[in-house]
Amino acid sequence: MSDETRSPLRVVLVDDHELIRTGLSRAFEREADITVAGLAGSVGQALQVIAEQRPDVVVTDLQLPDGTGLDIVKTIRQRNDRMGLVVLTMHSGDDHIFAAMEAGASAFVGKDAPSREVVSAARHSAISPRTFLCSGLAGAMMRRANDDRPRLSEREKEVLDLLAEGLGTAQIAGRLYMSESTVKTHIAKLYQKLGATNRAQALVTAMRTGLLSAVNPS
Amino acid sequence: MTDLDDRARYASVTAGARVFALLMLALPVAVDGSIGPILSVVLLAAVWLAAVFVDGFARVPVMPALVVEASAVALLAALTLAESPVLLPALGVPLFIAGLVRGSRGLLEVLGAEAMVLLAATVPNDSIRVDLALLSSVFTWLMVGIGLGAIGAVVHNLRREQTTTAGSYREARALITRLLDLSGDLVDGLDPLGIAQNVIDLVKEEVPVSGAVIFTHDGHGFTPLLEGDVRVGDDGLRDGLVAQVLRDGRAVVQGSDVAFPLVTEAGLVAVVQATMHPAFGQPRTATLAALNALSRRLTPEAVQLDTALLFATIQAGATAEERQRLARDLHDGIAQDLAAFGYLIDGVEDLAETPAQVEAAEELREELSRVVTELRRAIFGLRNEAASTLSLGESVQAMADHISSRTGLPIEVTLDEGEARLRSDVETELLRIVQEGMNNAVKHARATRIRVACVVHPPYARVRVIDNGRGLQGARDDSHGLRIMRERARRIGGTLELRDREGRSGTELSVELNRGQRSQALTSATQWRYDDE
Repeated sequence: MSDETRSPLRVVLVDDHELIRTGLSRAFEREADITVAGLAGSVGQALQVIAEQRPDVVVTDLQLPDGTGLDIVKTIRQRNDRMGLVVLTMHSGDDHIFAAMEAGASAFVGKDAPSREVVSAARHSAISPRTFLCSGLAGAMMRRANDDRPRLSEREKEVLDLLAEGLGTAQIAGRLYMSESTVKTHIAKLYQKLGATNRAQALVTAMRTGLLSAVNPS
Repeated sequence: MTDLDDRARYASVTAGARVFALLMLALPVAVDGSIGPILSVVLLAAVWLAAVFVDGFARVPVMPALVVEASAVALLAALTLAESPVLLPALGVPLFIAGLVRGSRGLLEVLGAEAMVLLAATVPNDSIRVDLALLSSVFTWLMVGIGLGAIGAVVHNLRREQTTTAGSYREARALITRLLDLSGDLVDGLDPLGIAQNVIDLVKEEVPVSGAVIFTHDGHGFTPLLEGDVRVGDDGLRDGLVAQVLRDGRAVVQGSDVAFPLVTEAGLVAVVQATMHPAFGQPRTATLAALNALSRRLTPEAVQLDTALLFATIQAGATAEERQRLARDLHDGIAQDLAAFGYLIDGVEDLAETPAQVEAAEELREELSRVVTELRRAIFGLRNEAASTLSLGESVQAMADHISSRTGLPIEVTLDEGEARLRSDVETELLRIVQEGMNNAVKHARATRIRVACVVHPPYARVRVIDNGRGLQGARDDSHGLRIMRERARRIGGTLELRDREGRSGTELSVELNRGQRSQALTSATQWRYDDE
């Protein structure tokens, strides 16, 4: 990879934690053939920087102040099949892995992994952006095969997570840009699927069965 | 809400009360025919007309308006006393209105005003003869007025409680306070497990059964409450029976296997499943009848169990939110900082010059990675209580692999578990105990190998951690780690033992649930031989 004739790999790092951005960008800058083309701390900022810099790879945190890293992944993947998209997260749980994969990410790395793993995931993603690299994928697949938890739609998951945040119907409606009655319908379906009759019960059941693994939407 | 709102709300009632009182007074006065009282009633009508008129003005404050009205009424009644006490009943009307509009405070204000005016108008007036008959008459009508006012005040308060948010919170507060007081008084406590055990004991007194298990029902399926003795057998048959009872709400008998519901007025709470003693040679219909009768007799216990489960739900709900908050704090705070330190250490590793420095940096990095991994798991665990889809045995295995790969110490895991799972909180506690046990063996015991054996046949379970190290070396019994392990075991009703191995070097940690059922649970299980070669 240290071929002098090739242009360096250009990377954009997205994380709302400054210390993480600093540490990671140093790790990337230590590589001779990689340059850090930009840093961002939010979804909006990231999309702007990416549009300006057109990097080869984006490494993004999942939980950001104005949305999730998956929003970035989805937005880019809709138009661009060749950009490497690495999801870097503190969250664990199979659901995140699948969500990243379905959103079109190229790799999924935990924040406990040393920076060389992040770097090598970035290199991988630049070469084959549409394959999915994740060390825990096989195990997650096996567990999913035996999964008998209730299946929630994407919307229902979002509503559930906001319920878990302690938001009321009106607030949820505001966050998700839907009418209150639609939110109520989703909540009713959620309760039905979770066998709950109120918010606390739904929350407890969701926790017990591991349905609350999604990133809290902010 | 203000007094003005109440005045407007009750305007028709108060106006009605005044009109009613006027009608009530008009008849006797007209029959009597003397001019004074008739004039008084006309004046009274004028006062009340003015009062009704004033009610319509939001700008007139409520309290003075009421007091002025009451004083005028009392004055008229007192002045008429010289001729006849016929106007005394009118005293009740302002009292009633004040109670309704301003509650008990308004009632007292108006009562005070009326009493003062009555005294001031009658005592110096020589034409009024203050005798016992008059006093008792005044007293009677004042009391009637106070009674009406009190009713008004009650309505006023009720209305207030219902319509304000603060009111519903006050109600909730009162209820929760009562719940707290109650839960202290409840003879059998609010512990579902204890109550379940009690039910099983009662069942055994009534019918000859063994292997009784109580299943509670939630949104998706049923869970055994841990207590009770267990029969290792056909789980499928057992589940089928329980499902049938859940569906039909009636007892079911199939061969020697029986199941019947625990019901309250509100519905089915739980299902008791058991095996009839073979000697109980009753025909099927008689058994069914006996079980259904038993089911009815156990209603009080069902209510207890239902209450306890409900209470547990409230507790779980309360903790759930706190856990979410904790997870969020951990995730956004210390976990990110540590991960960032990790990346910084990666940089130090690259700068290291001597092999010793490289090694030191690597070691530091590995430890930090381990801490962050733990944190990730903790965050996930907080957000998803024992969310693992792994069984307890699989989790133990995974944890052992992890520790083994980190320390290079071989850990051999033997699993014997059936399809049925323990409750998730029980699994979590057991897992934490085993984790602490394995870590202790690694850290303190100077062991060269560790064996972990895990038997799960709910409600029976036993997990053992055995090492070949230097043994307990005394004085570790009150260590912090051990205290926590004991507390965890106590919380799930288990027995924890930590001792030196007999005749060999090393320690053995064992935690066991429902020890009484060990022989039954282990008959079909792999044999338990853990001899060092």
